[in-house]
Amino acid sequence: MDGLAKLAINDKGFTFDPATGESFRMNDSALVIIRHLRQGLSPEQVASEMSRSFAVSESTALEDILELMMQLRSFGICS
Amino acid sequence: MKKQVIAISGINATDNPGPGVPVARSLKEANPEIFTVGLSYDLHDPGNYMDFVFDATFRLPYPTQGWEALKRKLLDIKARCGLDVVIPCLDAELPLFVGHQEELLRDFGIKSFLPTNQQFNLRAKDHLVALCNDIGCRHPETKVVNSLNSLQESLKDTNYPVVVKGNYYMAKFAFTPDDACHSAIEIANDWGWPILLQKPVSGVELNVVGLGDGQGGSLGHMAIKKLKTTKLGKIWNGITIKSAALEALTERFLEATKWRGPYELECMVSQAALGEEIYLIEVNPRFPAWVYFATGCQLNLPQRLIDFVNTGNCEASCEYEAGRYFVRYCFELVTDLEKLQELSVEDW
Repeated sequence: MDGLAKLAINDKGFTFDPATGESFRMNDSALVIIRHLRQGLSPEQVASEMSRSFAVSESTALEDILELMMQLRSFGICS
Repeated sequence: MKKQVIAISGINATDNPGPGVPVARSLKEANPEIFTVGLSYDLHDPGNYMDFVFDATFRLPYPTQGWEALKRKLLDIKARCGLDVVIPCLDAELPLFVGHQEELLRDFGIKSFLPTNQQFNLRAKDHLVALCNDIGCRHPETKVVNSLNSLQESLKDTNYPVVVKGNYYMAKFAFTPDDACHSAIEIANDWGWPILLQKPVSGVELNVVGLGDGQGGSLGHMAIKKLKTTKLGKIWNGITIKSAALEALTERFLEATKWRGPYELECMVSQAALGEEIYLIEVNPRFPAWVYFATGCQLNLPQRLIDFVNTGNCEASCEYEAGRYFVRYCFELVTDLEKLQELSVEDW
């Protein structure tokens, strides 16, 4: 999660990767997921947090989290 | 105290901008007391009319007229307003300045801070492959052609599209052999041979501007990503980055070449985040036209150059913030005819 830690993210979801110069905008749920992942939580722990905070099952939340992580991998941000 | 006189070329702040105006602007910002001399090749160069950047301007003979003509002009400038340091900023004139830098200093007291002949040749476009092998980075597949005959021979077994490049300036995409032949002849007519046929590399363009100390060390460098370019490939928007892979490449370049003076590394990166697949496309032996970007990030490289040639020392930090944003813009200047008349009829 080294790449995640280095990202500059503002509270509106604007995200800048200082290693590549890439910038993108994250939606609200992606922002919450990233914040939890940056705190060192596992995807499963984040899914559990998400299901408590939002009206969503843990399995659906986990699917979304893994999909987001796959996207981040495609940007070279997390391994 | 006598003002230091610094002459800077490349004052064509046009749609294909030279580095002269941003270099002079950087120097003036660091020390408004210096006397800046713009060296121009065209009376319409915007720098001739920017009296808030240049205290005087002079016309240089074209590099094709050779060293004696250039030397005469530099001595004429020195006699008219003094000349302590010269910062040449254009590729085509650099061989003359590089080859005679010692003579300029020894015989006329005019300082410069340029690569040696050997360093200059190492990074020539037709030697780039060998340099890339030395410093362990990728390079685009490149063929060097020195004549029309060898061009026609090379085009037979070239895959398309191909980038046709001049040794100093210009690069054009070609999609067919006819296209490539036409572009090569057009470029060779303007800038001579050799012509390079380069396999295009896809990815994002990352560049480094820096100043080498001539011993393998850095007197400051900064990496950027070009976000938007003009049709001529000139940066319009950019952002500073901190790439470990690019940093390592810069260190290897400086160490291998013992680079002396300003430089720009032009790279393409296909997997930027992973730091793999860095292609070194070009090494420019001068400040790029976007050098003011570094000045705006507290790395005033032109001023460091002046400090280094004056004292043998300068600030050498490479500390800058990632995520600083560069925006180029157009600016208009309205003046009366007097200056144009002066430049048209007088020996300047």
